[in-house]
Amino acid sequence: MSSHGFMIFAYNNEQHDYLKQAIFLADRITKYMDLPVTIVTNKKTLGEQTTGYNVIITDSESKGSRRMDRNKKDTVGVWYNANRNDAYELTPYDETIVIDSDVVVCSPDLTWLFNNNVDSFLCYRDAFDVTNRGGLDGDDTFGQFKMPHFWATIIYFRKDASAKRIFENIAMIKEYWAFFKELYKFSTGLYRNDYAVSIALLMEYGHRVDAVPSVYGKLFTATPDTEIKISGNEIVVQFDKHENNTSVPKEILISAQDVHCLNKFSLEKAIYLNSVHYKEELPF
Amino acid sequence: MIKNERGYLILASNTETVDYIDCAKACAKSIRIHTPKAKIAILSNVAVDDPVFDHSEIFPFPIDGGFSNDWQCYWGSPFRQTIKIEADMIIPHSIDHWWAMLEHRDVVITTGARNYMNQLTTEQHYRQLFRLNRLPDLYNAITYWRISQTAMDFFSLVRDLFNNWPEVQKQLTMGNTDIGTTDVVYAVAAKLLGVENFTLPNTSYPTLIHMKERINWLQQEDWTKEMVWELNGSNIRIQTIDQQYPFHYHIKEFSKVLNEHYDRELSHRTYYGETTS
Repeated sequence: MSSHGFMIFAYNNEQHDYLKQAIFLADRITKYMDLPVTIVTNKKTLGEQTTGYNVIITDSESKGSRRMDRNKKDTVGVWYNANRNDAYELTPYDETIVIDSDVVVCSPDLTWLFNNNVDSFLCYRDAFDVTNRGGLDGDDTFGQFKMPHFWATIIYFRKDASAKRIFENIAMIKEYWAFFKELYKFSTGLYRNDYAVSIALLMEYGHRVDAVPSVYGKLFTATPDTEIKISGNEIVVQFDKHENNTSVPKEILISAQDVHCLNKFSLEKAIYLNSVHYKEELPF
Repeated sequence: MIKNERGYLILASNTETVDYIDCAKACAKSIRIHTPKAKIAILSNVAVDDPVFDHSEIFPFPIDGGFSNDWQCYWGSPFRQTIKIEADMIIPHSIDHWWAMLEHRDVVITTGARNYMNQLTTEQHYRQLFRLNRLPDLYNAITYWRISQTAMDFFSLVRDLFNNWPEVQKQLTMGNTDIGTTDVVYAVAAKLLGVENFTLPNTSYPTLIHMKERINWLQQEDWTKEMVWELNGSNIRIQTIDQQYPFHYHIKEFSKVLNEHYDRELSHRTYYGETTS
């Protein structure tokens, strides 16, 4: 039987403790799926900490800095996101799910991706704004000519020739980023895993948009302007909704549903509060 | 006169500014590459001597220039079953399997168009008149018919609509904005005779990719200057995306590039598919 496991890349910067996010996520993967987790980080991030999980130490190059809260000038941090393509070589598992540290796992749903026996590489094609305000409208494509945008937030892959080619192509796209930026006419100069994965998938599937397989359903996403609270397998998402020219505070409760939380400041606050208030709910 | 059971018919009459016959040659060559034994005819105002065409037909009735002669295609086709293709199109992949479905109907007109991503477009910029008059979203660029009463009635009505366009215009909301273009005339004719008799709306073909500006998020009319395109055999890729359906390139000058490419591709084989080298 092939081995299954999760990989989380975590490189701290000036603004965020990605390692703390990764450990929080790893705890939840253990709780809901009881599958092994490997955290990929560097010595600077790990320091003297122990994580309780398999750790791979390797440096990540950065392709630039960005504002971690797009509304605040003083939140600029270096973005160490450029070594995801190493996942294929680094993983200790036959089948791996690479998952961003800002996903809050609340269910065993992702286990469905293992043993699919068909597709070597899968990620989400669509994301859904859980507040239903259409905050991700326009993010289903990128560039002037509306290339399909696949989400690299959660990537399933099996170690085989097809997945290997896709990761090699991601590396190539990263190396020739300026060329692909010009070709597909997207505005950001900053390296984006989502774009690189999208382009690599199109290459693998003969540049036929409809031929690219993806994870069934949508990636539930809480947009950067939301605040979250986590309790067990429930997430409360708070947000403002514009109604009749006024901003009305709202909140929704999401239960047993994995959510990608784009407001990392809020996520870190929720992780802290969770560790203080809800520790008794976790079995460790 | 019927010369073959099935075939592709390309309408092309040169104007002062556009060499449609050159476009028609490119279209025929694109078919020859993947379907060498296809029967292809050109219907024009002059005899066209080019071996890429099996038949060169001349409009059977007097012509008055422009696209208002389109109705003659029914009487001018040398085939019992015809797929009409507009001259400024190419067929990157074989559509021979279409016949199996189309032959069950008397007339089928393409419904909807696709963008370069091969996706059905929702862009309505060019179709205001259709929307306002609740006309079916038809594209005459690819039309199938077999010799039948339905087809004859349809093309007779198309002729009458062309010939009486000033009167028809008055009946249409925004009718004064259209000079009697073939798509509008086809749509009016189909609506008058029953749209269900002329469309297959729930099928993935007949269909076409249209390279008009708004459909493809272009900033200028000429996509060849703004997008990256690659020709390989009969295939064409736009922004790396393989064009899987009949491709309406719309920029007529592009036919020169296409003909040059196809001539190279076909130079080492006969039109019947045998390689010569």
